[in-house]
Amino acid sequence: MSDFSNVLDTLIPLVGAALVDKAKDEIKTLADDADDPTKKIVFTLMAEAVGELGEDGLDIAEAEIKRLLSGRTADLDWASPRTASDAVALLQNAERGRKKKARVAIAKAGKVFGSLGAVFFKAAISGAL
Amino acid sequence: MRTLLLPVLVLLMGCGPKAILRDANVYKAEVDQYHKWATVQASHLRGFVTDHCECQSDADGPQFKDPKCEEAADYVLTIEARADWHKQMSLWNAGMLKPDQEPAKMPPDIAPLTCPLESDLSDLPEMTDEAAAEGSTP
Repeated sequence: MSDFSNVLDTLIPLVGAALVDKAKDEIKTLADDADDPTKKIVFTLMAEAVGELGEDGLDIAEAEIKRLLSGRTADLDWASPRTASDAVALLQNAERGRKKKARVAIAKAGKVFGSLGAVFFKAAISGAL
Repeated sequence: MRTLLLPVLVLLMGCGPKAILRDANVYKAEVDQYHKWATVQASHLRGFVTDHCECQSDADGPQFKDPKCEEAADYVLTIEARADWHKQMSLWNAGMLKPDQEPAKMPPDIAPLTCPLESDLSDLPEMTDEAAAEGSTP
């Protein structure tokens, strides 16, 4: 997240009405070069926000992207349907990842409880005898 | 131990992302309905774009003359490519699909915007991660 905040902090003072197109192009280049899918979507959202909303776009994009990345409902009205779909796909895949981790943890816990159960069962039997 | 566990659980309930419990049948009906609305609308919109939108050529090649047509066409292509995947992910994340029905890791690519619109390829079977891996193997 700090990467994106740094980019935003650097770009916001540069963006005047005349520089909006330049800023949009520069952010678009960052999006094209980004190797990480999250960075790519964030930069694409920023570029589209500047393109659609002008110099106010970065402020709005910053607030909404932060909401999106923290898993809250974000208003991405300015985004193209393609980018909005990518953003939702990112959220859906993140949820899938969390659920997979939870399933693995539950399976591990099940094994631990299973072995503990066997120990208690043996202890109960030996106590009864 | 039990007296300690209960307050800890209560405190933990306020942490992490908010989760909701839904009736599985109603949820499935809703997702199906939203999916149908989107895909049927996209199909109708494709018809309107094909019948009523004109193309013009400039330095970047053929494009829609009217920006509204371009916007509509982009929605059509996105819905055709992605609606099924998003729906399957909604059901998968809700634990409503069988293990062998897990959607591919990456959503399908969206066709590039062209004027006139390319034909709808969304009825073709979706490529799984395994099939994609096999296809890319030399």
